[in-house]
Amino acid sequence: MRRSGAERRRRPEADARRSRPEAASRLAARRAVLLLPLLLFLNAPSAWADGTPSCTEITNQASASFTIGESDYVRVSNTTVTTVAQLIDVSVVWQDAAAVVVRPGDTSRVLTFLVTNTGNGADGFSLEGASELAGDDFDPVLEAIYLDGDDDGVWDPDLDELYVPGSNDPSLDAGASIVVFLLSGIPADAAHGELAASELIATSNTGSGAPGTVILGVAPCGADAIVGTSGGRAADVGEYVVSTVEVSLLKSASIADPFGGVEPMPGAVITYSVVVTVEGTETAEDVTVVDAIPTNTTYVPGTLGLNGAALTDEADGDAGDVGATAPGAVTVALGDLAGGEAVQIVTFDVTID
Amino acid sequence: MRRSAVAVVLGVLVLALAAGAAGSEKPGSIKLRVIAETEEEITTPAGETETVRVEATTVVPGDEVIYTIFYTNVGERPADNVRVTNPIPEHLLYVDGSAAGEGTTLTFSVDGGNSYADAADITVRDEHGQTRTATATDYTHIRWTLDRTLESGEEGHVSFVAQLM
Repeated sequence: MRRSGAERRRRPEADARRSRPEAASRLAARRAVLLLPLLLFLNAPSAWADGTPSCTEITNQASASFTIGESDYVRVSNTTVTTVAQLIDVSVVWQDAAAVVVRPGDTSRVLTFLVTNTGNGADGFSLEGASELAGDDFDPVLEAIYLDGDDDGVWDPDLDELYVPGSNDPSLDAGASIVVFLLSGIPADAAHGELAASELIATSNTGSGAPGTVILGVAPCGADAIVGTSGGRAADVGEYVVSTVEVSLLKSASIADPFGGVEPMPGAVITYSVVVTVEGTETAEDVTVVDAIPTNTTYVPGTLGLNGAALTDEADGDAGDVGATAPGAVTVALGDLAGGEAVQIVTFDVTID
Repeated sequence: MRRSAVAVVLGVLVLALAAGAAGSEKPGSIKLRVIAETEEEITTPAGETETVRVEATTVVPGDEVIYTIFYTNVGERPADNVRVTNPIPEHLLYVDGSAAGEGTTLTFSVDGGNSYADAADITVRDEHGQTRTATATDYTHIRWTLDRTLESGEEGHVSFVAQLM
């Protein structure tokens, strides 16, 4: 039931987004002899995203020079004027690098999307979310859509703007983008390893429909608008993956000064202790603790330990080393840890310089 | 295609009639007329799909515009050294191989119309200062040079296709 990334990219919407706006350009009607050079554009994504702006006037005038008798002449033609209509196009692209890791019962989990006006004129876009999609393991519960008000790409309920359809539809200039957050809850009965997809859909307010559809007179200059390959509507799917295992680290320090006290003074020894706890019903794989030696301190050779047993400082047969795997840090490989297993304790000493 | 060929012939006939009426105005002159068209698919009442040319009043990025330039010797004396020149309109790129004109020799300019040469002989400098053969998108002007004298009352046409960026 899992859908791989490759399968996701084969969605019709994604295909449409990556192909040239063929229908809008009425390519199919062109002479066959012209098709050859044009094929070069077929795989160019958003080929016209920075196309000539709507309402631009294209003029053309020819001239002729000739000789009659001994005299040379130049004549010019009439001038043709062609107005650039508005091309309606939009793209939606999921932005998270990988499936967002969630736990059963989570609320307000964010999927991040980028909505881009790939047409050649300013346009407004209606947004909607969908979670009841085929091919995943469960349906997230849609909560809200937010617009990235502070333009930092990270959802913040105080700084970002709650989207209300028809009220604050994002208005984008040609080529402009906005980050949109889709928030969902995760059902309490979701199981470890399950995948769930949610979709963000953006639809042009100027018009949508079959590519090539003409909407009369809606461009600012009164020119027509023409629906591009996207159909004036685009969508992309983001994914959640459920994990019921949680690894937590708790670090503590104790100080012994040269005079038998606990003052953090030069020459005092700090003993660090990192306690690793794994909770949940699943196994965390390849757990590795990496802890940097603090600045202005020096590692005390031979003090690295795991669960009370000494580890050598070198990278050798045991689980830990100092400075070899990660420069300036202690590294201890704990391997696979099952949820509920006994805590792992990494200890080492440093002296204050 | 058959239909658009007919349309062109009709257009030439109309122009020839107009030229005949205006022919006496000057002792020697060539009249030029340019039209801009796009091709569209229509469905006939019989349900068949046909391609027709329509006036290019509006276009969108990616569209191709077909420019046809009609020339007529409306004077009483023959014209020699006839050269028809058309700049590639701003925002458009010339579609490689699209220029046509019976009985003409084609040359192109990449320097705003200062110089013209055969397509194979034009070079441009790339961003590294290296010289390379110019390609269709480098062209700024197209020139058709008639291979013959244009007699009084004779007419013809040349054409090219450019794509809106």
